[in-house]
Amino acid sequence: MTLDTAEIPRRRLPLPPMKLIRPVVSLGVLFGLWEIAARTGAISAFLFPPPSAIFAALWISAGPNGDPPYGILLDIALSLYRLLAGVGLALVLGTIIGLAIGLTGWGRAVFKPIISALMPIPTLAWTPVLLLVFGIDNRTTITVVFIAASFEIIYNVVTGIEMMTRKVYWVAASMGASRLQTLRYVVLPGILPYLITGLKLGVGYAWRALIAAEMLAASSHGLGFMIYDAQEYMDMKSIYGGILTISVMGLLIERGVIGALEKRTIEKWGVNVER
Amino acid sequence: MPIGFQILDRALRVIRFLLPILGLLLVWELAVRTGLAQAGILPAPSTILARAVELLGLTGERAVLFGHILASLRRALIAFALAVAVGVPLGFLLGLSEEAQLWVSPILSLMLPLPAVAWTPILLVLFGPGDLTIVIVCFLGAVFPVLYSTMQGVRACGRQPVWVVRSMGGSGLDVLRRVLIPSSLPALITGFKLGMAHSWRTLVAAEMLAALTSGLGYMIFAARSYMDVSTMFVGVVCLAAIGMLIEHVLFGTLEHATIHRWYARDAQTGGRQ
Amino acid sequence: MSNVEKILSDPVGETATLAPKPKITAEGAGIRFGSIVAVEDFTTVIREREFVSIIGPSGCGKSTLLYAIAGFLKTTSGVLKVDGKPIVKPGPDRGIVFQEFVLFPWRTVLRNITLGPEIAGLPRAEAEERARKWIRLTGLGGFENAYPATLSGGMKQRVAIARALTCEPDILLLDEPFGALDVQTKNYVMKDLQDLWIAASKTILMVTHSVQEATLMADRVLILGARPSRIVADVRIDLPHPRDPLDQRLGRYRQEVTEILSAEVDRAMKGERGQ
Repeated sequence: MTLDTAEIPRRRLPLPPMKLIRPVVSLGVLFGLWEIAARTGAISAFLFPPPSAIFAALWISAGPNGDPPYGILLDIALSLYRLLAGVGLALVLGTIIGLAIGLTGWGRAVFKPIISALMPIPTLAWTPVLLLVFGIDNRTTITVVFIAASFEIIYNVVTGIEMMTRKVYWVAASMGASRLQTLRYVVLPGILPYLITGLKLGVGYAWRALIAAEMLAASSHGLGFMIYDAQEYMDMKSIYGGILTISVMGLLIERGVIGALEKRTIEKWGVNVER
Repeated sequence: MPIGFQILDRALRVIRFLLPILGLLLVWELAVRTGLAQAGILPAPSTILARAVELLGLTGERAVLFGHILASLRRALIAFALAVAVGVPLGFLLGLSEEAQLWVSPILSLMLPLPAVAWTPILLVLFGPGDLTIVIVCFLGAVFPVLYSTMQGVRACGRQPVWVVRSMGGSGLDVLRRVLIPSSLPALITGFKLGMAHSWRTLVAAEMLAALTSGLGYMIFAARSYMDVSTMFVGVVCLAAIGMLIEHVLFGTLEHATIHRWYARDAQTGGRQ
Repeated sequence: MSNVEKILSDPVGETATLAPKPKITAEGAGIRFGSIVAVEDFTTVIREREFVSIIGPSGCGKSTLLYAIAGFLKTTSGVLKVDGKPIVKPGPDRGIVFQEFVLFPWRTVLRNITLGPEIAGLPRAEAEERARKWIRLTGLGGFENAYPATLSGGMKQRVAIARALTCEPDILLLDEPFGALDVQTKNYVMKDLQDLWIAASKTILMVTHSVQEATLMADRVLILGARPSRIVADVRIDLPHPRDPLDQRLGRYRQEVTEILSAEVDRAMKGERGQ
């Protein structure tokens, strides 16, 4: 079999240099002005330590001389573990509930009202309740992540099913597909772009909720815990370093991980996700 | 007759909507009564209701709940107002000048994955616990949705309407007054709705971390130290109910009066943190 | 068009002229949605290897009829039979091609076409073997690994046709198959479809609103009236295949069908105004 795909247009534009220059310059100017202001005493170097000092502190805490050694790496690892566990749980349960709402009458009747009743509760309001149930434990933060991520996933799975025309099911039916085959060959791949969109938004909410939950409920480690803990010692460099790490990690998760996932599915298939 | 049917139909729909929720509450109640669930951790809905009645002052005790609600609402609204005051002009600026937007967007995208609550430690060092810290945190939570919606609204206007007014001899002020503001108003209202929702949702966490004596978040977190679970649940339900009232009643009415009338379509909804 | 020569040398086409058995029988079939009658008293016999076109004013329920024969919708009165047995559900014996193609964006051209055999439980290699024949005949060679989003409308419709034919149906149901194509593309796909029909020796039922398409391709043209639609005329196009669009005799048939159709449209409009 000859597989000749040379005819298919593949868009690969070279990165415009401005796209790289702009962030470097704009962040450089921001940090540069801050550095100068802190060094000259225009702003308090204690409350706003110069970025160079923040980066230096960050560098030390990522090495064996940190307190604790490799502290920031441990914090990152633990935060990522909690995020992954909670989002994984949300992905599985959210997809199942979404399918139940989208495909079955009883699922719609039971889950829709319950979800609309739970959704207005601010995610972080669950934290004290969960603290009572689980105590200061990873389960508390993981559950907060789960709650933060699952609504968006459920909502998008349901939208994905609603966006499918009945003719898609008809094509499968005319091939003699069973219910299970229709689910496997049509529904699951069909909702995947929506699931990924839901995941993207869900992870965004979850990351922010996790940091806040760690501030309220983590016993040790985790980026949220770290910045809150540093506040007790007025360790401003650690707080700024932690905030910077939270922001960069959040960007990496969204652009890197989810972006790669989108490239391999939504973009490759050329589908539009309407929300 | 048709009107009668409509009422019946609506009533049936409400019942069908409430049925699963009531069912869940019933299962919960029974689980507590039969000892399946620990009342110390998960009080029965009836216990929570009784506590709510107490906190509302209906039993003659001091109506503490109202105080907390008012304190929370005040902070959330001040933060929201600040977010509008900052977010809308900035949104117009960044929406009108593509160049400015391109240069600022790296900073914005670095701020976006940060929960507003992450700024609390710095603010606690700067200002200590109290209203100022809480309001700033809520402001940081609310300002980005307002900013982004405004930016999108201004951007979506396009150049042709501006050219139309320009060709009629309109000034820059005319363009702003007669084109940009009206055309971006739906997006602005959506942004306000999201901003208020974010302000309210951020508030709980901020109050848990930084409130001294009042607010629903404070009430919930304080109740935790006394293991007063019923009060915690009352607080959670209040947060949800007020959030819904703000979103559906306040902004719902506003949208109905504006966006729906002008465009005969649904505005984008949603937005949580 | 080397395909055509190969196809024409195929002896199957010649036997088609021997008295064929009835394939689809409609006995007073009617379909109503609530109080709206879409199709009424539809009675006809479509024989094996016959190419029948259904034409009618837009909104007359011709597609509804096709969906009922496919088994997607149920008749509310009368009977529709295939091979003497009443139609109860969709099945691989009746392949369908929609105007909107309804391809699965997450599957490559090849995997779209092999879906039918895959659902039937055939091993991948065997499914691809079967698909290859139709990929060749529809002129899709070289595009096997492309995703549908990268294809033009004409190519998409070829994939949909190949996908339906790979299920090896006895009957091919075409729902306005050229409706979404531009004129140039349409002429090509139409020509190929005629060749395919001769090669595949299938019974084809095509719904269209274009007199030109119907007369060029079909052995018989069933003209449906405005809603509630019943057959107002059954025109036999007695010309050999493949036909030349510029043939004088074809022009006369075209005129005949057009006259009946426009009389029907006039009648419907007057009826509407009279009410």
